[in-house]
Amino acid sequence: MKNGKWELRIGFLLAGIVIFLAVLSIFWTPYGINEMDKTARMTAPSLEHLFGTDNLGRDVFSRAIVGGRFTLLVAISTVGACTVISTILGLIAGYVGGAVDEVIMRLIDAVNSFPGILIALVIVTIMQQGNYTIVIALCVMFIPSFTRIVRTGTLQYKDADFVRSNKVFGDSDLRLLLVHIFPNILPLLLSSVIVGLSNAILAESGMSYLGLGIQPPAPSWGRMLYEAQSFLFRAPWCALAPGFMIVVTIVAFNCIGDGLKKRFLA
Amino acid sequence: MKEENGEILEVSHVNNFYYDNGLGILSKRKKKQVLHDVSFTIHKDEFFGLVGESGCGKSTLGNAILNLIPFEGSIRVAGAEASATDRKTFTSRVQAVFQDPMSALNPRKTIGFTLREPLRAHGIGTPGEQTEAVNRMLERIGLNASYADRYPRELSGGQRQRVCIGAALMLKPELVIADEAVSALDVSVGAQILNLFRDIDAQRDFAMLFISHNLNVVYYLCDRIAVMYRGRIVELGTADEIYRNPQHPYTKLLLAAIPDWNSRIEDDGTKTLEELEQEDAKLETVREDVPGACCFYHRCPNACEKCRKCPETVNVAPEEEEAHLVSCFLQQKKSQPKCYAEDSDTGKTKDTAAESERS
Repeated sequence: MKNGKWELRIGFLLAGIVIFLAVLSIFWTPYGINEMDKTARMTAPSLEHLFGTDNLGRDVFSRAIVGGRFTLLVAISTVGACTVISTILGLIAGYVGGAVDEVIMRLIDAVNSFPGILIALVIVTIMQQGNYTIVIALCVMFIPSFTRIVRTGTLQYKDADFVRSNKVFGDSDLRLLLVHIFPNILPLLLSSVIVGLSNAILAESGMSYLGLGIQPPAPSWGRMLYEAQSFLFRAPWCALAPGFMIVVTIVAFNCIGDGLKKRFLA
Repeated sequence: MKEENGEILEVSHVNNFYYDNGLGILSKRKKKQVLHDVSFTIHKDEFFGLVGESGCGKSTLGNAILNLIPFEGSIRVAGAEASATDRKTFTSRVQAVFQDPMSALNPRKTIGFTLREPLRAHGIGTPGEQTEAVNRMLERIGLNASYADRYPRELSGGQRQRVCIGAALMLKPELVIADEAVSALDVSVGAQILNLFRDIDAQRDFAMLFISHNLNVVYYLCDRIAVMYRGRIVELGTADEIYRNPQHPYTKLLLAAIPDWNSRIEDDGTKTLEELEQEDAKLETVREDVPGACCFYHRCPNACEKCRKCPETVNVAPEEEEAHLVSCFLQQKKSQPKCYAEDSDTGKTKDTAAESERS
């Protein structure tokens, strides 16, 4: 288990499978995701329907891999946007300090003081419901923790000898930040980003489960869980399939995140 | 002191405070003074040593000169006020070598990148010329061009310090501030670095402020030495004067702390080991500190009533020679310490030049 090697291997393997299925679903699915087969409603998993069919006779496997695509897309765009915004905020807060730092961090505290899901709910409610409203909502939810990470890293390096010496070389503040400070924070940020991805998947699933995420008929894992609950006991595979996919993905991303952290911070 | 244009650095009446915020927003802010009315000048192309014990403010002074921390007073580099000079102009004149070469290089950048950084920041030369300049500098600091692609972690402490020195010299500065540049290195490597400084000094004209706690190192390298104690310069003079003819009790204490005390015995020729030990014991005298007293009052073996006030700085050197400034009421003669508190005319020249005035 040296330097998180095994975490990385397992993580990349599982993530690879999930991402492969998601990409595959763009080109090919065993059945159409909204293709209903009235003769085969709520059939148990078989070779014909790998994860069985739901109450409308739709193939759960097809829906699960397409749903994975939507879920991953939401997660990646959320974390991506959030990383960019948080990095800018965190670098400024940490480097400039003083009043600027106070203002930024107190705003962050304000956002942080609400339960994440509540703030996302409020945003979704205020804004037009659309597939990507949820990205904005989740983004707001994740910005505080990411900003704190970047700010802490910046504080750690801002008075480092090498930053001071580059300042004496005549580097501008912007260059100090981007060329000397940021690359040193990157490993820490990267592992948080990966773990952030799995959190975003969970949050997206939670939101979709509440009916506020991806809009029907497009599937997402959370959406599928939501739809499956009414016939949970008659066709448990309808809930188990997306649940299983969520577990695999989250284990994968957490493994990668832990592995990276061990590798870079050991 | 002589007023001439040959001063690269003029530090006058520099005070520096830092605020101890304490914990929480309700605790009172405490103001602590680090530098007390520090004044001195460095001539062009001169190696100037600054010695003192840990926490006496040596590095704070270095950082103040580098414009890295706020201060009160005036620091002029090549005649221009440091705090009013923009970063580019300022850094083309003043460069620094920091104490710990392990942390002074960006671990994620190659040696070549670091050496090139000053040129890049100042937009000097084309990329090709910069590479050439980097390679030449690597040769000069005793490495070779192949080191340009290496990372700091692949270098030894001594090699890294060479790189730091090289990077500081890339811009051909007029003043280099070396803050404990050899303290983090072991003795033999430190000696190599000192010799590198000497070699480079022979090749090029620049002045250096060499900050150290080691009087031997400073004596070896520097033309003039200032001794600092608790944020004040207590004695300042040529290296030989300070080393052979220390006037301030603190300087004497520092010299007594140098392990090879044998070299000092010729000073008066009569001291035995026992006497030296007694002297050391005397120097460790501790009495209660009095606010506003001489900064060395609490440890001074010869302190008297007069020492409860802050002493003026006086010049004890003969008129025509380089100044030897001492901030002490006791113009001590060897083996017969005597308080001259009441006797203002001691036959020594009193120099109350503006820059050495004490309140």
